[in-house]
Amino acid sequence: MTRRREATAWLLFSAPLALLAGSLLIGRYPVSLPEAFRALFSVGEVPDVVRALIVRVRLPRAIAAACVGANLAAGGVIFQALLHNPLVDARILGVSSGAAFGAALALVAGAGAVAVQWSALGFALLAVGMVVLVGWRYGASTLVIVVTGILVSALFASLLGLLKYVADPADTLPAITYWLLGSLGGVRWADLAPLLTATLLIQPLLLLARWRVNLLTLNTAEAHSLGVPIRALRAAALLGATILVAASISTSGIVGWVGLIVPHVARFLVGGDHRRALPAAIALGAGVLLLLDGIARTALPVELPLGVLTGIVGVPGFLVVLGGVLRTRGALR
Amino acid sequence: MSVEARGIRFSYQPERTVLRGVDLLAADSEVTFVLGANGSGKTTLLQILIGLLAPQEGRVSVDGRPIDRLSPRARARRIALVPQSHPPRPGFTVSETVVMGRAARLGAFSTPRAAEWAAADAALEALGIASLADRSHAKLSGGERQLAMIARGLAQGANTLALDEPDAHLDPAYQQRVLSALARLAERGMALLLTSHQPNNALVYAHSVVFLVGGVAAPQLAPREALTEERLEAAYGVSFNLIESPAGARALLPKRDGR
Repeated sequence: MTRRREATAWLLFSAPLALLAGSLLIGRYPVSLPEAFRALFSVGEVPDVVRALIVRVRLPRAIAAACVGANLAAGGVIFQALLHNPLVDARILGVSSGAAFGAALALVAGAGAVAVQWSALGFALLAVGMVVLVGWRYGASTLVIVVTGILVSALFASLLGLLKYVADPADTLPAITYWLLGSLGGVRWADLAPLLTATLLIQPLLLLARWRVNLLTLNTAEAHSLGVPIRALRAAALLGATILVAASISTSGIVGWVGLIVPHVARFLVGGDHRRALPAAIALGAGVLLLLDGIARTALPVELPLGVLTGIVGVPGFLVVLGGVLRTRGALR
Repeated sequence: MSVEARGIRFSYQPERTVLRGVDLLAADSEVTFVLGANGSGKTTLLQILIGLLAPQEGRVSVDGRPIDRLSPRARARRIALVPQSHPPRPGFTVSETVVMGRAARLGAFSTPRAAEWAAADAALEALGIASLADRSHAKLSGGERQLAMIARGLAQGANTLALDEPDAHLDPAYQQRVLSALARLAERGMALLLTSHQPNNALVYAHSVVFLVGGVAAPQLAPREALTEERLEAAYGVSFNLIESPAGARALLPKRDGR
């Protein structure tokens, strides 16, 4: 048992590193490992075009994929614990629909890539802020929060529809559609500021507090009795997870399913205690998105949208998860 | 010492008072039963005693100190609640759920250390379920889960345990196992306060009994004085027969059709 657990841990944490290295090598212009090494660390002779490709294109993209995957998975773990519901992710609180509206608004206004990103981030946070404010007003129960999340999502979806309707069908509308499909295609170092800041600030705190994530699954009376300041804990978890997810989606566009399914796979592999489940989900999320982004850019002559790919893999994955959840609740034999 | 409530009045809405002038003492080394019909305010009273709800009138003190003056951590080290419902936690072992009882002794960024795991093990040992430590929490029976939940309260290290219907939904053997375990904790000096719908369990295990009738507490009495046919009829609105064996054991049987 212990040996199996150790092997799982090694695999979980070495796989993302291997995939990160691998994603520097593969692509329309394959690069050998020694060449990539020389380019990264500026040793020996490397053609300028290879150096530019590795350092300016593939490395930021791979780092973005790893961060987005890790953040969506961590966000999923937190939201599932927070809402006592194994079948939710950040989308339930309107993060995605807020981000989509924000990005579309900036695109319609003719803003540049960085402005699109910040607008998406801002509206994602606004959407969750609305859910929290309204939810708080009506007693902050899980049910109220979920229903409010659905309402706020619906509102932003309608507003997004309005923007699409008025967008120039020649260039703006395709840009909105492309953003909604999710992609890391155009990511360069300059686009990584919000993503890297959020990841480097919040992930270490989250990992240090990973045992406390267990306490999010308690109800209010239990938490009170255990001396846990549950309101503060919930607020901190909600804020941290929301910023992680919002910063990720504002960089990648809509990438669904990772936050929903990866936490389940992590728990299946290492158990439910978040001392292990949270780090495992983070590693797994990074690995999965590196892998899928690698497939997205190499499987076909044209690049596949990442969000489409996660959807194709995610829907059957969700059915497996749903079966597992229903079985543990005795609703399915 | 332990937990004392004096003159508690509480209402969720101004016009609907749930508790009126309730006095109660859960003393060290004793098992105190709170009995009363559904909706008589038992769970509300427990939530007031652990400081989750603040009464509009009256005061609650734990070990002589007003509960609202204690910090959450200090309070958790003095009184622990064992709630009525305890959903299965898929993916968690029993130890991992019990060690959550140590939350008040850990900083925001720490994980349980050897001392915490030892406390969890000791709690499981005290309840006779050490063998369940590494079992999956979701695969426990209802009775085992109740014991695991009590172990979490015990791991908290508080001297007072407040339990919400710990004998509900259990077969007679498990009721006996749970209540005997609680009685042993009282023998070790702890104060045990529990709500129940089983007057017969109170006859066997209680040192004192409080009846809640329509939000008002009858005086706290020894079980033989508290559990009479008249008092039960007043509390539940149906008639009972008090049966006594030659050896002195008592039981209360509800009459057929309430008469």
